[in-house]
Amino acid sequence: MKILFAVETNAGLDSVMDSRFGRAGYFLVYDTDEKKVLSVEENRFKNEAHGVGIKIASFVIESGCRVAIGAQPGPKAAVILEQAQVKMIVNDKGTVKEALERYKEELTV
Amino acid sequence: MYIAVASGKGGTGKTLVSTSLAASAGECTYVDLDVEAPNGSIFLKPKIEREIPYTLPVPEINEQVCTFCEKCAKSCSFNALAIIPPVRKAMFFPDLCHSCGVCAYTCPVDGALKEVEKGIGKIRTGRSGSIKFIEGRLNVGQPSGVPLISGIIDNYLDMDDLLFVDSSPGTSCPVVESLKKSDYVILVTEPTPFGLSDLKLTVELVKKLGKDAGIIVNKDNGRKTIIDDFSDETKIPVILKIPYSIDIQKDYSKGIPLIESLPRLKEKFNRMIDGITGKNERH
Repeated sequence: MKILFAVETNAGLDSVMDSRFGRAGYFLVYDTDEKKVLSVEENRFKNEAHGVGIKIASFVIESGCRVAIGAQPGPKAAVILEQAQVKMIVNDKGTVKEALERYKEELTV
Repeated sequence: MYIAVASGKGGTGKTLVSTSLAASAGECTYVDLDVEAPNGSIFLKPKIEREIPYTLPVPEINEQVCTFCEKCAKSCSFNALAIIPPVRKAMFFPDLCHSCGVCAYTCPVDGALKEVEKGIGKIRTGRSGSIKFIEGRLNVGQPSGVPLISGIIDNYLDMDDLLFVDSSPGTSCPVVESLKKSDYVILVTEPTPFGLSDLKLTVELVKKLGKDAGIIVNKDNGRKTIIDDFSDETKIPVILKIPYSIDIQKDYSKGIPLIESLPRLKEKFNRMIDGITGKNERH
């Protein structure tokens, strides 16, 4: 399964989670089956004035990830992700590795 | 001639001044472009003759016909559309839409996306004696009054008339729109640090727009104030001072026009209007 992380830095699993979702620095896609980072893309919509959340939500859907982990998205992005049945996990603490561990822990509880 | 009345600070007397200008001039048009809170009508008490709904085109997507190709969403400069192909859904976010029509233009599928008219406010026109009255009134919850303001300016104003245009406070888009086509800007302020601070911002805007301007000091205490100093520095003339008076405040609170509570001001207003219009002819 592919998971998208909204991160501030580009350092693989050590990337720091961003405190913002739509305006995060990078989007990292991790595959839980292959246990590796598939891609890291710079957020090209980061500095747009309006509707960034909408663009990013569409980007998440296009990436094919069924789960997105990051800071609380804005209301527009949240409703689009919900409609697209992408599960949004709000967590902007620590690194990708830590966020992934926490997500796995929560799944097994 | 288009005379705009502006002020950075709210509550300095824009409506007091613009309705007094209209009432003093008599043969003129009063235009309320403070579309979020129009209240010149409280003083002028016009007889409203027409009430015209103001609409803008917005996209409506038929999900039965749409192929979810995303051309519309990708062409939108304001990101107002989201197309979700996996679940065959199209979402529209009206508060981001600027009614530019590019989505309808780029849609390749017949009947998938059409533009529908959405009401954003209304325009009321009428008369108050010899004064023509025009007012924009934005619907509550609308994100921007700019389209309504420009719609009134482009379609309802006769630029040959003597126009007194009441604008909203501040220095943002609605004010810029209200001032853009003006021949002269009257800046209403009060002799307080707040009045001066916001006057400075408005002067910056007026300079950027390249407009001629004059200052009216409201609630004046009869002495030389920080506004006079500012006028001396910037060479923007103080064209009128309205005295601070409890009687004016009392009448104002009852919706009685200024020139009724202080009739001697009518002549002053008219002399000032002559000065502005005469000055403009010399240009």
